[in-house]
Amino acid sequence: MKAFIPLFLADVREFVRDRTALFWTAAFPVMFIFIFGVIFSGGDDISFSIGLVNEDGPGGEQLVESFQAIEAFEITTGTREAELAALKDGDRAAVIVIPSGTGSTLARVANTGGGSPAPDSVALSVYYDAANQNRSQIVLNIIDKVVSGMNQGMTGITPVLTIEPQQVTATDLRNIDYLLPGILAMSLMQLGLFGTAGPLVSLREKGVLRRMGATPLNRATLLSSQVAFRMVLALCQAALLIGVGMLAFDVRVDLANLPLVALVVLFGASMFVTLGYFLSTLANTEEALQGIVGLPNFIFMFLSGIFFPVDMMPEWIRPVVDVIPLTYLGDLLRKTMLEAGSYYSTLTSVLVLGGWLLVSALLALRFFRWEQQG
Amino acid sequence: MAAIEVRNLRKVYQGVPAVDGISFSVAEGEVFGLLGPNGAGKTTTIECIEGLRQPDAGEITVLGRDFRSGPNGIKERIGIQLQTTGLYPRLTVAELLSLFGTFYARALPVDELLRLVSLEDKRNTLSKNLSGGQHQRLSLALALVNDPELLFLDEPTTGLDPQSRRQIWNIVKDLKRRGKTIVLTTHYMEEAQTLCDRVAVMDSGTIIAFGTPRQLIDQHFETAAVEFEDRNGASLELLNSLPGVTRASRDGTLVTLYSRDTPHTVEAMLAAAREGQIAFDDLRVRSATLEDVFLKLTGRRIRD
Ligand SMILES: Nc1ncnc2c1ncn2[C@@H]1O[C@H](COP(=O)(O)OP(=O)(O)OP(=O)(O)O)[C@@H](O)[C@H]1O
Ligand SMILES: [Mg+2]
Repeated sequence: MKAFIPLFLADVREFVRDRTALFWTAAFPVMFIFIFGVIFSGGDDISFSIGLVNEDGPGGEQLVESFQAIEAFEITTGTREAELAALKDGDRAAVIVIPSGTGSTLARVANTGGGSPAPDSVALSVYYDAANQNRSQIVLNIIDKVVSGMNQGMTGITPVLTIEPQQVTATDLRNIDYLLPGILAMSLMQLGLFGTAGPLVSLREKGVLRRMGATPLNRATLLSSQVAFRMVLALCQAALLIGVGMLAFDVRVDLANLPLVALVVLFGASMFVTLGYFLSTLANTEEALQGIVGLPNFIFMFLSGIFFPVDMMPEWIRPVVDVIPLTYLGDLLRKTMLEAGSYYSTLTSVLVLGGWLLVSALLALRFFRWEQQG
Repeated sequence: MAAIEVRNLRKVYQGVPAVDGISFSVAEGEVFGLLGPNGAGKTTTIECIEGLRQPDAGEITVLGRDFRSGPNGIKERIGIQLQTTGLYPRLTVAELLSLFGTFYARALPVDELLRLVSLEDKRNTLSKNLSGGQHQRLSLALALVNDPELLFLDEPTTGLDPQSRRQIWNIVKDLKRRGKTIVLTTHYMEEAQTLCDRVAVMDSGTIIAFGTPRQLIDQHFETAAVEFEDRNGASLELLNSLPGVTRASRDGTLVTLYSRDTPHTVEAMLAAAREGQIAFDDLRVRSATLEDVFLKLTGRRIRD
């Protein structure tokens, strides 16, 4: 184990002195942040089309206005029949119905002040497409936060005005906020594909590993130093990207969650690094490898929902999206970084990523060779 | 005790034997040469001994132990220079030497290694920026990192200019003086003659001659070789009939006559030339070398 740190440092030096590697792991994702940040900064936010049915006439107007104020919602008003039909056609993410009598009930509660022992209540009906659970979950989440915010305001526990920012926090999902975790996920994937498989093939092709095999160095030390280096690199990438996102684009990251984010980063990185060890077995030359990893890189990048919400993609492509590990890593990172609603449950994401990790590890163990031939 | 003992070593690739049942032993403190043309099986042999390739048959003991008995500390005691040494391209010479030092229980100081192979002024050069000869010297230094008792050098001077070659020879001679056992492979007869106490001449996976360079030459040739460029294609019959000639051979226009009586042979040649029976350029007389032994044994030159 005496060689662990020196081997780790050898990897660091190789990496730092290789401009191409530096570009792909550091400059490239940062460029992505800037490009997306500039293109999408401003009002062009992710939004959901919401149908609003006001059956309370003027009494419900105040509520209608509150919903219209939510940036993530694009509100269309109409009759119950028309809006439900639009929902069925997939043109609405959800339809909210404000029943008659809502306005008067709200007014009554507001006048009695807070603390009324048995307050009247109003039930807003929210229709959503059960088939599209992911999107519906986010929308319901937002509606829930808005409504609970109003409730608090009306029952007077907290003054109305101070609640407002909280509502904005809950709903203001700008594109760049959405994209940053995706870009981080992408760079972790590329750490595995280009930052692991590539160097391994090159070291094997040049016979570097073979030469070290002629010394008493044991393979476990070599392997652990290589993996440790990549884990540290993954954390550095995460720090860099989150730092740039926060400083340049004011991306909100829940700092209290950083340890959890780090855990997810390490989990994702170990999955992709292991995949890299397996992929390195498929090629004998670095050139051949570029062709082999280029395809998954491309497919994973554009079909994984790291750049677009999954449900913005056509339905027929969903089966592909649903097996790509990057989808789940992006989702998991988004959940931990933003505490925003995610498409998949944490358990699903962990299981899918864990599955990929396990399968990659088994394949790597079966096929990985330090040397070209024996 | 023998440093290396090889018995009936055999290694087959795709049905074709690369090494075909060879046996030899290397004594402690000796410089042993494996000599032979491309594809003779030198690398295969030496790498089987080093434990880097699995033999298909045969027994090998190195420093009294068998590699197949698992990890047993042999690697700590040997130094290996591969025919082509792959190195981290972006580490400097000094960084590589100190990195490799950490692989061993005991290692020589980097400065001493640099001095041994005269790479002091390249200590901060990235390995990918070294010239061929410098790379070769670095790979030699890496083989010396653990100050091994037994050293394997696979074509240590191939591709080097004469000056660098001589420098490597001096290093090897110095190591020999310090009591190291060295096994080296080479195409160069001159190298084998200069460095090796004993050589095994290999061809097509077998050992075709064995002994000290002097023994081999004396065994096959009484005296000298007379060589010339033949201009009008004299018959071998005629050449063989010249006085003193024991053997004549032709390689293109280059004719070599082995003679036990050089003055008479040359005299007869000059007479034949005056009569127009033969015409030659570039006549020279030299002593026989291992190259001649190889030529005699196989009918081919070792380097084509
Ligand atoms: N890994 C391998 N797979 C298939 N054939 C091999 C392998 N290694 C060696 N050979 C074959 O075995 C024979 C001997 O090769 P080897 O490398 O031992 O020769 P060599 O004497 O070292 O030649 P050179 O002087 O060119 O280095 C060659 O015909 C070669 O093609
Ligand atoms: Mg060879």
